[in-house]
Amino acid sequence: MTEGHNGGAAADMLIDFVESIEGLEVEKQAISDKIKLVKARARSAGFDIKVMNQMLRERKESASAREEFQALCEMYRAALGMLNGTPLGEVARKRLMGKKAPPPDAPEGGEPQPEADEFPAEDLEGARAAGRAAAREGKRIIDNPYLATDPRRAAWDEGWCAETGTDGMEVPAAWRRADKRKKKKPEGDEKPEGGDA
Amino acid sequence: MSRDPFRRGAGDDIKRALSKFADVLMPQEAEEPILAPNVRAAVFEWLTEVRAADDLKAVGIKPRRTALLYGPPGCGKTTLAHHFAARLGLPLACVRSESLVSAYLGSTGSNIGQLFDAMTETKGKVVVFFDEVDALGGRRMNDQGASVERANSLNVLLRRIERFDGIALAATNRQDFLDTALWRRFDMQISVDLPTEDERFAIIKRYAAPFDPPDEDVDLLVDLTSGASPALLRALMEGVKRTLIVGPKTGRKIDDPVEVFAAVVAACAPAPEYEPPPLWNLHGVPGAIPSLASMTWPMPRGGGK
Repeated sequence: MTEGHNGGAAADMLIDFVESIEGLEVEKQAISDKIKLVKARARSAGFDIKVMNQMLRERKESASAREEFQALCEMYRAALGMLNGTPLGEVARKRLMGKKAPPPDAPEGGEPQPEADEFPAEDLEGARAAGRAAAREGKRIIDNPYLATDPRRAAWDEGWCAETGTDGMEVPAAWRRADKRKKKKPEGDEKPEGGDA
Repeated sequence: MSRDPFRRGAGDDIKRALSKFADVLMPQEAEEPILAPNVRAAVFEWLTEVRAADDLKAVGIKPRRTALLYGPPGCGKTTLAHHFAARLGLPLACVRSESLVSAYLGSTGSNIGQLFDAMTETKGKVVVFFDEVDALGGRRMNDQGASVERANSLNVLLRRIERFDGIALAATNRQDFLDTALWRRFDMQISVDLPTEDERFAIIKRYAAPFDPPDEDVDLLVDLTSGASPALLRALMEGVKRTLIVGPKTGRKIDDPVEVFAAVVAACAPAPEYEPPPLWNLHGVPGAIPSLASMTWPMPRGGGK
């Protein structure tokens, strides 16, 4: 680097850098102001900014990082007794316990448990209870929150069916007659053999 | 909508993998099926069986994996397949048969192979549905020309279905035309027929919403639509709603149910293979449409569903 009067070229370069950074700082402030404006608009439209900020944070993460973080949160909440009584809390608590130490009746040698054992009967019962509650709340049977590979999916479905006393394919009440039909069935409208849809 | 990101991501992967040959319907898009009790019983039993795979394995058997749905067109076979997949929490890949059939020698079989390879890659995370499977599995006729190519393609299909480890459904309204080997290849054959009285009632109610006609009026329509498919009933009720909204803009009078229904009936007709329901049998059932004059009109609006 050559030197000139009062720092010469080096000083010029430094001025360039500083001015560039100052320019970018101004732009940053302008963008930050714009973001604030958008958030203010979102707030006035009724959105919760705290929740929106959380979503923005989560969207920056990968799906797997997000899932891992949420699973950890479940465990922390369960350990702090913040999920007591809910099926989710029960599952998280058991996972947490499983990580700390094997249960007293675990097989010797610490062999990995079969997949089904990740969901002991109590978890399945929790999912059944959640299914029953969902049916009472008027949720659809296909609103099952568990993944296809999760044994709790079937348990939730069973709970839903048990609560409604149906197979999950019952015609909704809104589409059925209020009373039995009074009119006589017209001729030639007999149920065809083999089923209908 | 509280769908977890993992599930949404998996759906996108499956859509990408199968896009060449199939449209993928996601579980949360499924509609409530309106099915006859015997069909419901068959579907429920199959669902229970699939879920009891581990218990069945303990006694040396596997759950059934394939079913053929047959019956007239527009009777809800796709809706049934979609509901079945949704109950299992899996997307439904509706195979477009025309995308498999090719004019080039050997290409149809090759496409079938590619489809099953793509399906295998999803590792059982999708239920496959061959609509109008007769396009691929029509009866083998002779050993000449195009028939040989069809027979070869069918052989590939038979072999791949046999080896397929996932759940597959197929539908046809030409069961008499279907190759008997393909028919036998399915673990179950379920008849999905025209709706009966109670089912027609529910279908009319569903597609009348947000209007809520009184039960007596729906019963009148139920009688006049005997022998109609769910698709035709949907076209009828959606046609009525369309007329009620668009009619006034085009100068059509909508204050008379007879005129409204007559206009709709004139614009949507049952498939030629059906015996026309009374509402469409203009020569055989005099007074079918005029009898609608007794309906409560304008149709009352309800909460809708």
